[in-house]
Amino acid sequence: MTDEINIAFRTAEGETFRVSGLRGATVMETAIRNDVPGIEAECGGACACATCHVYAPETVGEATDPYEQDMLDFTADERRPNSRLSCQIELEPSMEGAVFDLPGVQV
Amino acid sequence: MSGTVIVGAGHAGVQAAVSLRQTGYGEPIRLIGGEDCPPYHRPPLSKAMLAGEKRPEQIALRGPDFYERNGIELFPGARALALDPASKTVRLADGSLAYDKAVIATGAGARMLAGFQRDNVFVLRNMQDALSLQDALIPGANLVIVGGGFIGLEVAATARKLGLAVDVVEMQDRLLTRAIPAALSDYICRRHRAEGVRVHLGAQIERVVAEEGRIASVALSNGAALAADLVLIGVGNAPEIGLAAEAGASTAMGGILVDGAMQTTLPDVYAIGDCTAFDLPVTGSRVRLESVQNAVDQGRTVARQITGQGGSYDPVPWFWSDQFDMKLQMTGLSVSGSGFTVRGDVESGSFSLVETLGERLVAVHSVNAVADHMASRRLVGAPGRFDRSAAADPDTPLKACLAAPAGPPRRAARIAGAEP
Repeated sequence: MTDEINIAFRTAEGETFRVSGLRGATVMETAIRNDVPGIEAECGGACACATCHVYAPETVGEATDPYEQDMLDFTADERRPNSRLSCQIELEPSMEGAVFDLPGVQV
Repeated sequence: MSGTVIVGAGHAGVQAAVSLRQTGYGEPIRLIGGEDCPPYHRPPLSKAMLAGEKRPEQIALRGPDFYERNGIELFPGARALALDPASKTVRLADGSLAYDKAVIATGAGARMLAGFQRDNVFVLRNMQDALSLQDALIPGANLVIVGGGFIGLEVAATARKLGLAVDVVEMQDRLLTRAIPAALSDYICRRHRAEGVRVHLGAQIERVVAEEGRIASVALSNGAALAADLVLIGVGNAPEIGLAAEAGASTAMGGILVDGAMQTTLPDVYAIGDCTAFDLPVTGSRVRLESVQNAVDQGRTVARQITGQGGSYDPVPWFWSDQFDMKLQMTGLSVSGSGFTVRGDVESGSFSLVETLGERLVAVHSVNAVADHMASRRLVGAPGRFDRSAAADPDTPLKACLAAPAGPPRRAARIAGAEP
């Protein structure tokens, strides 16, 4: 079994980036490592800036952490029920093939 | 065209390069990085990375191919020795780089205390510092931290988690005197003590006892002798201004003086990040800020200036620190003569200190109160009367405490002139 998990990001303009990351890495780190545009991640994963906002597929689930939920009220683009901060999502095998939609703006 | 030479590949320098490309700049960009490793996020050095929860490559600012792919020539491990504004060149050890625009983003260096240089004495500013310190954080060891500022307290929290015995020695009669009001200092001090950190306030170091090139103990003037297997000096940073000052740039408050366009007093030479001093519109005071917010927003501002899009630097400063289970978040800058309103229950561990001057909201200091913090970033500096008594009720949203006149929200003016 491999620890590489394949995911994709779809930009607001409709461009898709297919990337892979290691199990346990965050979705934010995986996007940054692969130069996916549209993730700013100013704070580097401290859950302090709300600039790594993504719209997550059902396999990933909604935000449960209270800090993350509060931060999501302050994203630059519209908050939807499936809004997540990608620095708070760690890759796991159940996310294989997950497609994350990126908002139009992060700041 | 010679393009832009950016000296310093920390958060500010990298943001300037990224924003230049994002705003359509097509000329060469050269990024001089003083460290050997790829540019990285500095805040985790005292927290997740020091604790071993993140590896160095996980805190990289950008992916390994980013720079080449975006036409940013990175010079890792290179030092700029001189900048000549007349010939518009930056001299490196092995040659010179011509520039149309130069951006100085040299950051700051950790201060060391005289008489402390020994094998087991550390500072924490860069990746190498963090890796060296990490190796020395052995469970059960005695760590003495000199300085009760953010770096000292974050390392204290990390070291306790790793199982070290920790003493924090602070000269002042409270922690975090520069950035935090007294009431919050006291709370943070209590939390550290509850986690087993021995905090010594108003403490003078009388002498250090060294054996075989290592500090063995630190003696305080009150008679206490603190056993030390290792010592961390966390007494602040000195801006790296040598390159700019030697080229003739004006300095202020120990930093490189810049205007709202990030311009130094030298033509076509800008400066951004921890190394700068500038007039902050929202407070009307001259400041030097060491923060991610300042680095990122100044990096964006300088890119807009270089590409002719204008817009001056007019931010609401914000900052964060994670210690034990405390998520500390600050918006705005404390001023003297202000009043504080407690919002929420301090004993619950989730509250904010709302700082006002008359009917003006000047700062919000939050502990595990993320919604207050995020709201405050749109409210500090906004026009309108702030009702501090309404803010005392945590069920009233902070936003509802501001009687704002009609007009656009403050956030749109974060970089004045920028698209909201």
